[in-house]
Amino acid sequence: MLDIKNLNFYYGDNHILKNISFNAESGSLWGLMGPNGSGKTTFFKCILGLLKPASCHIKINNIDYKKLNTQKLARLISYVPQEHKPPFPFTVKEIVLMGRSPYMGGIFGLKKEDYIEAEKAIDMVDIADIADKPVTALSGGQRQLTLIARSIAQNAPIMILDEPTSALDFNNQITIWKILKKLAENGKLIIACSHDPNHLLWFAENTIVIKNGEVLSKGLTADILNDSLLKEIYGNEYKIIQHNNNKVIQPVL
Amino acid sequence: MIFNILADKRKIIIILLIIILCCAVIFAVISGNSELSPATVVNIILYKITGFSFDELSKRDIAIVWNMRMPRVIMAILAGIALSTAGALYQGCFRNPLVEPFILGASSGASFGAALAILFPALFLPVQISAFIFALLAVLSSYMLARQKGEINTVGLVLSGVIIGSIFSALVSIMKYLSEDTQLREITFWMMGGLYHAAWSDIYINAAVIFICFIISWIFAWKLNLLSIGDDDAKTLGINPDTYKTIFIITATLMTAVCVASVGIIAWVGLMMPHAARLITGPDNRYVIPIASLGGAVYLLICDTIARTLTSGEIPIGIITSIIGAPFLIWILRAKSGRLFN
Repeated sequence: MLDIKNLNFYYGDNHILKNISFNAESGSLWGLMGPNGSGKTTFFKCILGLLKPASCHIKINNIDYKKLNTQKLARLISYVPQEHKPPFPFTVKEIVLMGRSPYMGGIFGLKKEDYIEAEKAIDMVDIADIADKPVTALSGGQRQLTLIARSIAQNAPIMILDEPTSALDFNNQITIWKILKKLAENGKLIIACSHDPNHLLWFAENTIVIKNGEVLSKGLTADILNDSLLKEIYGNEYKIIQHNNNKVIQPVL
Repeated sequence: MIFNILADKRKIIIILLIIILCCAVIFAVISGNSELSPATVVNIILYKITGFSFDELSKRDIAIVWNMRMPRVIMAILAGIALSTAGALYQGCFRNPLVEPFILGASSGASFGAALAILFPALFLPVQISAFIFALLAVLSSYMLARQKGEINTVGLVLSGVIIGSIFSALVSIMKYLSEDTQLREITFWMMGGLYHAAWSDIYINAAVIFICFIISWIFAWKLNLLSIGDDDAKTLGINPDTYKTIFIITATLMTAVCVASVGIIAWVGLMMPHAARLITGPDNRYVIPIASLGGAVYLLICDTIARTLTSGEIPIGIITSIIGAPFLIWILRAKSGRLFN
């Protein structure tokens, strides 16, 4: 599905991403983790074509990435950026409807199907009650939910999310991860990064860890995520505790 | 139903504005020194369009309506459409609701071109053409200055617009300094804007350019929505932000330049009307563009009618648009800012 080989990215003289190779199949949920400034967002932006890597071979469904134009790429990969406030007060439903843009053609180009898909996405994330509100008047968390709904409406086989739950309350964090898991079970490839390793432990089947622009570890979350890896990532002691059928990461205080 | 496509209030507003515009046209044609009845005016307009008339029409009335007042009316409508649409396009491209059509130096460029033509009539092109060329030249310079490695930085573009604008303003000042009294007066009047030169021959060119540019803007209005959210968002939603920025800036600039060349600098309309439209419909440019255009047409038509009927002489329209426009913007800033921008 997604096949990345030897991705290198420089920002000026800084070697931000070093020889990253990564491949993932559809129907799986990948978590991306790493400390602040490790290159997670840069990695995402390279996959999305927002930044031009110095070298890389990216293939999506065995199609060379360079052969895809912006519109075709948008039909394959959707993106939930870090939450930001747009300068104009678009309503939630207008923002979600924008997710249908890659399929539009002709004058104005919105078809009935587009409205239906947007409505489904709004219901899935359960934001129908704020659908008519301008996004500028919402909380950061509500805007994040709106962007997730937009990405769902885009209906691309690959979905990339940059800290989708950073501004959400505890319950909404869990709800969103459950939705992501369901979307993966229905056949999408989902890559999401999170600063809470518990989320990955609970929901992401696979995990890739980046530190200083290099892949530190990747594979099944249950296999790779352990006390020593956490120590390697963050530099401090953490313990994974087994509680009933669940695992929880705790700082050693 | 979250989306109610058929019962969209915004379509009714557009129809309502078209009706208001028609009324404003008749009101504008009636107003003036020679008294004419609304029925005569409607008859003459219909006669000229269809070639068929119910009543006897005097040649004098036809000349007043069709040769004197109609060109001004149509020019006011065209200028209103051009400046409002250009304003909406620039505001969307720059992601800044306080941007106006002259942000990239079109007005200073045009002033310089006009001053050059007024000062050296023998050497140079006619005022209109010279103004048009220098308006385009100014915007092109701003654009080239801001373009680096094939990418257009929005902040850089605004900055280069300010730089180019101030260079041309300085050049205009030199011109004014060098000019004689009558020329100085002509330059000053030109810069305050006015529709008194409007003639049918200008209207054909203006109408063609503005109509085509308006249609292009309206067709791509959804893409402007995406662009106004952010470059990264636009790109991941399937449009190339730099391509569309270029299309929108060219369209907006052509409209502004052709309009400025014919009527001089008319401030406020391009800043105010997109705001007014957003207040009525929200920021979706598929509706902002037509509603702002119609609003701009009505507004300029009323301002121009005031400009030519309020006193025995002619008041430059730029003065009227500012005097009426400024209080409106103050009201927006103080009362509605929360709904319009952050």
